[in-house]
Amino acid sequence: MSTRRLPVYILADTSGSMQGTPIESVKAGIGQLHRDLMSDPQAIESAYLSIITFSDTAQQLVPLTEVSAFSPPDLYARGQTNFGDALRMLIDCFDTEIVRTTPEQKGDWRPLVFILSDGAPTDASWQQYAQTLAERRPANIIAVACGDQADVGVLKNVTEIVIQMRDMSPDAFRAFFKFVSASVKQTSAKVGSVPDGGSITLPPPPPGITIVP
Amino acid sequence: MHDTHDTHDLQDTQDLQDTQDTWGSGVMPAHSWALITSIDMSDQHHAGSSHASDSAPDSTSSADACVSDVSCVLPAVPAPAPTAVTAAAWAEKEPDRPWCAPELVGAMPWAGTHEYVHAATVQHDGPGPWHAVGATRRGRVHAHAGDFREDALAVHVADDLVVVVVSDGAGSAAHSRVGSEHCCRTVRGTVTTAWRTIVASSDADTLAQGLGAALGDGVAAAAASLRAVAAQVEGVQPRDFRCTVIAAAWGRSAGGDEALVVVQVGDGIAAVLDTDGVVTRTAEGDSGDFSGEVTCFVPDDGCEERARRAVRLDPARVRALLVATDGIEDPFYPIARRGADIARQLRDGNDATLDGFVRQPSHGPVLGHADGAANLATWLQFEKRGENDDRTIVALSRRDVARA
Repeated sequence: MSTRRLPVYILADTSGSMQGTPIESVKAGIGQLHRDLMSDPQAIESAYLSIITFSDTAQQLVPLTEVSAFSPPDLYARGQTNFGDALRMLIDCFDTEIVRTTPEQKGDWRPLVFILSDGAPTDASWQQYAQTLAERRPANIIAVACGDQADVGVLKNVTEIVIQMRDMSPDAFRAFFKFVSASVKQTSAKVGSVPDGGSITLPPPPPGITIVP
Repeated sequence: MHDTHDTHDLQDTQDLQDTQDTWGSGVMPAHSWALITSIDMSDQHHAGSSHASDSAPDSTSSADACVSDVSCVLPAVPAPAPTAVTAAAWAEKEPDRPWCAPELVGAMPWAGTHEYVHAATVQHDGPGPWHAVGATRRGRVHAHAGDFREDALAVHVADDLVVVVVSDGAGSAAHSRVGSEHCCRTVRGTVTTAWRTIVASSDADTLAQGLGAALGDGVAAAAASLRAVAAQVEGVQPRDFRCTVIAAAWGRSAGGDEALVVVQVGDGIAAVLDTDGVVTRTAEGDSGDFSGEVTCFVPDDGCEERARRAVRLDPARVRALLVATDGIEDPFYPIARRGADIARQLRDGNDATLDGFVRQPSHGPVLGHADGAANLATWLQFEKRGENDDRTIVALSRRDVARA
């Protein structure tokens, strides 16, 4: 019998506009997230992390990996913002990596997805995949609009839960990844209701990060 | 006929204390009455050896046993060498707030005086045909976070009527532990009250209909009262009380007819070990594509309809009946395959660890055994990766066939 997993996907925008402090902060944040989760026994036993980056194309740098075996990847910022390819890859991951409940086995916990982007898509396919995600509701997706240039409207097409992080300082990213960690810890211990779309109650976002109504 | 003298429940606190003293000394009374005791959560101690400091019997249990009163994968981009990160160990913390939120007490006075314990057992070993044992314990996730147990159970065993109820408070609901406790008490109370009428049934069919209706009425009453509390207390919603419920009732009429029915709202299991040794679920549990998701809780709209879909069992074919929350169901899923393991371990005791489990402590027989509750509490200490929810189970075994 396999372990029931809480799959956690981080989709990070690594386009050229993320060069410098932002990409370094995301790297540091992922490392911090890993350390935080290692402080929670239930997260160690159930949370699995995957890192998907998107610029000219999307790339799954780390497939779903249990927390204790996870190693934060190096990240580089360059190129365009192929958001559609990132969503396509996310859907592919859901189809190939997520276990659903059957009469023979208990499925994974509903996946938790965090999308970070500081700009607008440069591709034309993102709407098609956003619609697929909206229809299937295969995960609890939290999109983060980083800085003032992020297209909140695009992110709203992907998920109802969009949060704005105008400040892109290291401290802001640190606070955000603390929020991610708290969300993972909370989700690994909570039960959702199918009529609610399996939605979970997230912890309050940290100061400086606001929920976009 | 229902006779209070045949009701094998503790009559007062002194009875409980006397029984517990005997239990604590390791000597089981030859004819034990309802036994409720908190149990030690540490793995160094076995249940049943609890003493004053960790044994907080529920002094309110006079008529019924209600326990809640009682691939590492190489990244495409070269990654830096992983830094050593120490994994945290499980902790056990006490909650720093009252079991029942103060704003609820005015609408639910009983909840203000409820004596919560992290773990408890119940055993009924009276002269009726059923031997009943139950155990519940706070899961490691709740213990680590300093949260309360959200499972509850209630048991009533008399010569002619047995009612068992288990409930699991939804982790996402703020007052689910109150909801689960309330649900157990209400269902048990509704059935025991209705029994005075049902017992006059002229045949097994009428008896089964009466018991099924009473179980459904009990769930409906629990849902209605929880909705009423939510309407009365500002800031509280019915969904804040969300919980599952599985309830079973067996009754025997004056003429000797018997009926056994089971209802279920939400996940968890009710399973029968039949006289051929086969374990079968009484109904499929309610769950979605993903773990931990339930279609309908109490007191959601529609829970009453689900609770009125009673499943009738043939008492003559039942060697044992197990009802348990998802803290038991999930680690042993699917029951169609793993139910036989549970039945074997509870019937014979166990000295091994099943595949997929980290550890299962050794224990003696549970079904029909004088030390059944203590052994069940030990069984409940199994360890399986990721399975750290509250755990609650009640096992009913027919005295005449349980050891067959």
